Amino acid sequence: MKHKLFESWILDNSPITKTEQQQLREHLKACPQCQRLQTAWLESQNRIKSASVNEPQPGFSQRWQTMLSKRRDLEKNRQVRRTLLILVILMGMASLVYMLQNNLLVTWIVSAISIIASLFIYMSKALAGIGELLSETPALVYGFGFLSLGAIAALLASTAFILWNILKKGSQKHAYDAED
Amino acid sequence: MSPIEAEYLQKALKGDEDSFTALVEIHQTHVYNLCYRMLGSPQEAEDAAQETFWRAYRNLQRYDTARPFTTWLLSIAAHYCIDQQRRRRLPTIELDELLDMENFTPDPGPTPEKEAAEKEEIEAVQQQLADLNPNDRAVLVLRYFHEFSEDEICHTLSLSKSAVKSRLHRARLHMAEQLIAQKNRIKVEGRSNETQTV
Repeated sequence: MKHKLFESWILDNSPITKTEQQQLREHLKACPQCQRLQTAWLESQNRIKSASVNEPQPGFSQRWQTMLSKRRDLEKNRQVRRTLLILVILMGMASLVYMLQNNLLVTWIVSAISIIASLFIYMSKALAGIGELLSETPALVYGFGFLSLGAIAALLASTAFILWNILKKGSQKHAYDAED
Repeated sequence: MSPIEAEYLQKALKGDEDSFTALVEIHQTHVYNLCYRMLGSPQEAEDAAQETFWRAYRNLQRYDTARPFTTWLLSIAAHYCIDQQRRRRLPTIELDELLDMENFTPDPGPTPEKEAAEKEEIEAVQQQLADLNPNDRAVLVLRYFHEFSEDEICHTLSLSKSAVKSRLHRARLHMAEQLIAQKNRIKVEGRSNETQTV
């Protein structure tokens, strides 16, 4: 029959007429599904009513005060950072306007480009010099150089590994001590 | 609202921090309880309750003094918990957490049997509440755990009356179906235990 209608009569608190109450009673006698629903909802209500009120752990307001002071400090720091950032931006904009007005910006850009260009020239000259030096060096010197470099690298790697192991053992021991 | 609470509120509105702390003392259980029912774990409830008071403190100037202060606080708490639940799936309460919570209970009075029964009851109610849509859950918690009227729920959650009614209907149906399912599970487990012993 009209299960949905009876379902709403069972679950909702809206008032129903005496005839509707009678209809519901008769339906419940004949319909185990709606009967189960009614019993379950009534029991659920009882469970909720008898459920205990959960209280926070003692010292809630003290924890609140601690949290409040921490958050206020954080907000203050954030505010200071924001103000500083705004000041820096304003100063940057002001100096940009000043440089544009006095043609300083163009001069600075030109000098920066010339510095970078001269750096490139020096680097290429240095590389060419190294190339010349290497072409005049005998192969034996190369071999010896590579071997010594390899030995130094291996020595450094093993020293780093030993140091890392010592540090790791030290921190583990500290953790065990703390646990004890 | 009691006269002393109204006085604290007036002072807090003027920026008195100690008066706001007194308001925290007064309302902590209400707020915590709502958060616990919404989130299902004592730690999350504690964090949510603290966050609620922080948000209330920051927005105190926006509080409409014509409305009850509790309703305003619970509205903040409910909205925060709904957001939290939407962000992650609601976990069902862990037995370990329940044991932890029991350890924090100041009254060590009840017998082990009573404690076990209480734990079972809390777990049962929380299991029924689990999987309920966050908004439906908030409506049900406010209606039955805080005894709010439908109008109060409308104001607290900024919902229309028809929305509150339909959400309540859905939540009640869910609670009843969950209970039926729980009972069926117990029956099946009982039967399987019987067959094992035979």
